[in-house]
Amino acid sequence: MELAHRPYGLLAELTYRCALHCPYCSNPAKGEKQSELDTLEWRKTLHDAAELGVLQVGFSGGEPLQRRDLEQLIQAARAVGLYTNLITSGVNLTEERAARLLQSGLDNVQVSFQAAEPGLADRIAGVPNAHQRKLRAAEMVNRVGLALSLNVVLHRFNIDSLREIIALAESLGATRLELANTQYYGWAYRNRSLLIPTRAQVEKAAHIASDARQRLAGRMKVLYVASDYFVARPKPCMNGWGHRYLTVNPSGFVLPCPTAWEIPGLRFETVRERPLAWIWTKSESFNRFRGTEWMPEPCRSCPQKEIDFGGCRCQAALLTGDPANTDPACEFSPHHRVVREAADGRVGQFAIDSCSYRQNP
Amino acid sequence: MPDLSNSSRRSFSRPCLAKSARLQIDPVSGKPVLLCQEAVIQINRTGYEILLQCDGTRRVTDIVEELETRYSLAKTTLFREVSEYLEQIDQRGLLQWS
Repeated sequence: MELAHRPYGLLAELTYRCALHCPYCSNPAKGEKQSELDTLEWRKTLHDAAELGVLQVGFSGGEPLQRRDLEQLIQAARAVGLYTNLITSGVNLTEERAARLLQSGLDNVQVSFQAAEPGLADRIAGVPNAHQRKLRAAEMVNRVGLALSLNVVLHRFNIDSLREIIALAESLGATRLELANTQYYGWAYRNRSLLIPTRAQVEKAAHIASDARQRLAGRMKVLYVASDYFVARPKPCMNGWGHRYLTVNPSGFVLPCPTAWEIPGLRFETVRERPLAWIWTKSESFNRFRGTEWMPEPCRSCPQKEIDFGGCRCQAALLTGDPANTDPACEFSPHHRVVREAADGRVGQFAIDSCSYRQNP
Repeated sequence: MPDLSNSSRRSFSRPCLAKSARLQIDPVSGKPVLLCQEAVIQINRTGYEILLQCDGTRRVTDIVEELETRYSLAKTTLFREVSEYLEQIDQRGLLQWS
């Protein structure tokens, strides 16, 4: 069986609970308290995902370490042949747990950092000593022999210290460093006017990252994710809607991407209600923006439509009110002005502390 | 063309797949894949046979000798192809050398 639309990657959002309060979190800002899938439900989901063709699972959240059954879920994923990655803040990791994660068959750990300077990092996370605990977590990961990668979300308040951030990742022995400009969904959208960097900041950062990528080739892979607010073209979001990736959120809703939850007017199903394969192949939500037939102009006649897939549906919904519009990050979108004005509208001095910090649902 | 400047220097080194990489057969297609944090890399049978031997105990020359018993190719050709292939995988940060 070879599916035209075959999922390769599953993002398993085990919980929205998290010890940190980062104001750029992409979790839903209007979080309702819902009942989390239990161990058995997740095991079945992992099994069904592998049957559907998934080869990789990222355990994410919130903070997946808050789930006591994480080790069981890693074992279950490995038992059905999935590559396993843990996406964590690291703050509650102990060395015993790191060893158990390795024994369970975990392939990679991605630890997030907020900045290189501890004071700033803790102010961004909204938690005292978070940075120090992350440093310890990274050391534990190395000590038990797990592969370590780092992720740092970039914004106005940390992007100027990119060199120090890269040096930190080198000193921690990371094999990979992902430098991701903030994407403005969820809490980040709420805080956009404070978090968005200036065009000059973004351009300088891109150069620094590019130099580091060359300098560190073969030692540490440096990945720089540009902000679509500044590049005039939309990102090829999820490689196309319902094409290669799926997300299952803490209460079991199956989504084409983690933020699709916030698109008004789309109805999503949970793994409690329907088999995963049905949701992937048959549900209205997964078929709504598949392929290119749904596209309006200017996408419909655009030579780039198989390259960027019309950009991001969540962003179109958020910024134009209609998820079926061309992503306004595209310079050809009739709504592009809203993105350009946000990107160029930064004046004055702002403090990170003025942001709305992420709350737990 | 991959950069071959390292190939002779590394002919007596022992390549090992990185901790974050995993080699397996894709159950859907039946073809080998190399999995790493954010990629599924499709590889061919020969690549699979080469990478299966990258366990940190065999030198590049050992791998070439092993393949010589399976393929009717000149040793110099095999050596060049194995080195090029390993260099490609190394460029992606998926090999460690000892």
